[in-house]
Amino acid sequence: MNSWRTRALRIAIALLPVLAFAVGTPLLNRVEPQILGIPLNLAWVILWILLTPICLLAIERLRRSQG
Amino acid sequence: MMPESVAAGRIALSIVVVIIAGTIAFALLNLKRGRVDPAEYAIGGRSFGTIFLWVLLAGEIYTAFTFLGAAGWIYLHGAAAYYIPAYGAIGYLVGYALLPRIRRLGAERGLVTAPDLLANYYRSPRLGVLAAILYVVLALPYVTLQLSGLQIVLSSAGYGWLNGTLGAAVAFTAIALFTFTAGLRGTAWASLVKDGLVLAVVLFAGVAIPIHFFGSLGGMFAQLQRTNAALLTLRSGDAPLGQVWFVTTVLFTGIGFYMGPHSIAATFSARSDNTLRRNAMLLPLYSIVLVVIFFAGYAALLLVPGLHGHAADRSFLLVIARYYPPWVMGFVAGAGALAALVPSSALILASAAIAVRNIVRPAFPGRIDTRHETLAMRLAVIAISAAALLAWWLVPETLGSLLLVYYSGITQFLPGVVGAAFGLRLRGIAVTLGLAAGVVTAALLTYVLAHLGFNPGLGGLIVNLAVVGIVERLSPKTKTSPPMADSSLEAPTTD
Repeated sequence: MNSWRTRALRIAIALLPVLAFAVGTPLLNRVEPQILGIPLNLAWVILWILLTPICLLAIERLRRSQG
Repeated sequence: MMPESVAAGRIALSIVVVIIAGTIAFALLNLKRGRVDPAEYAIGGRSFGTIFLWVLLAGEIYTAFTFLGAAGWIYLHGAAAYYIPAYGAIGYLVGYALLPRIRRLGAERGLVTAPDLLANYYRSPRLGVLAAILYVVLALPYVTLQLSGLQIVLSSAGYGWLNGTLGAAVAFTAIALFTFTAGLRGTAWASLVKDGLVLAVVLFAGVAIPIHFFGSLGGMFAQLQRTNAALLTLRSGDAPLGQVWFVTTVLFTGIGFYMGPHSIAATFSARSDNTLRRNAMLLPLYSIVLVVIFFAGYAALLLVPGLHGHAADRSFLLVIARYYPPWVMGFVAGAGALAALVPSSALILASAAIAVRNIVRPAFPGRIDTRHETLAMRLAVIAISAAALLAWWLVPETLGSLLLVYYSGITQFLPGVVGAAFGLRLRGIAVTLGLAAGVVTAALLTYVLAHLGFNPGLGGLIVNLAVVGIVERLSPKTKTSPPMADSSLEAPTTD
């Protein structure tokens, strides 16, 4: 009975990087403020490259806990 | 011809030759001896673990285009190039959900190629043949793209002393013979060497070059803001390569990331579902390589300004040629050459397996048994390599736009592959017509209505899905048996 909730949560987590990359990048279309000397839009891309494996790890944990 | 450039070219090209020959020798030494059945030849006997899959599922997608094209895109279009790591990350997410299901179907039903999957699941030999022809035809531009990359790399390493076209043809012939002998296992070993070398070169180029010339990344971007500020952001709205283009291309290319014939073959080569899931978590880190290449592209823009069109693909190699000794060029070009050759090998191999299993075998029923299938695949490797070489001589194109044509085509397989992976009861005829309509639409949008401001393949996919929906709606519900009852999952339906 909880399985559809877990499934919905997994899909929601999967959508985070999708929206961050596809929609977030063109919206954060600016150079300032720079992060460690890197323009904001590129820093955003780098941030989400690092966060995507973490999202997948969370999804995998949920899948395993579901059995 | 200056004597200095001849000497430099000899040093750099010698290193390139040693790298290519060494990689081939290393891969051949690691091959198993003995009889090779078709599944071993084309998909490594479904035995590959995490490391092989990592190099096959990322390394084979990031190619010479990545190496040269990503730097070239940064040089010409700046921030538009950020679409490349963005679609990759989305591709890995899709892969996490999709690939384990595809692998399971493959293992249960003895599937070897992508058209095997469609023909078997939808019980439609006709769909298998259409898919096979499309895959082979679409794979050709992707291979020729690698040949162009190879030509650029070799002519740069030759410092104008070597005819890059001839060099590329020779190297390509060597890799075709290697593929003939080695199969996917050999390609995976070669890929391992290639990725190691590419990583080393990219770190040097993207980190060392900016620091060497500009003090720091911040120093480089500060200078870019003074000289090329417009490149650092996307163009607004629906301008060419603008924000709308970015959103549509990232989503579309991301969902199509694993639709390539070589990616489906790599999926079938996996030992287990967990191997694929573990990989999906590790693969996004590969995208860091792309970001580092972006730094190299920006550095090239400041160091060798004024290049246009095709020439921008050489920008980063020009920096190496102008500011670094020939041996550095040798390693950079060696990595670039492998980045062109190894993915070509995987793609040609997948196309050859498709040509034999899904075009030749259905055309001559009973003429090719399992014993002869490996040999037939090997011969097809040679035939397809020759065809790619010829096509490359006859129809040259720019690196980036060719890749988009390839992607808009292969992504039309998405409805059929997703339907099979998730057990949807679609009809073979609906998937077949949708695929055909999608590819035709994508090709029309790309070639007839160029520069749309949105991704042409996405238009194709919408038509594709609409056709699938309409045919499903119109065809009688009771006429055919459902393509897959749950019980049929247990019993393999092909040899």
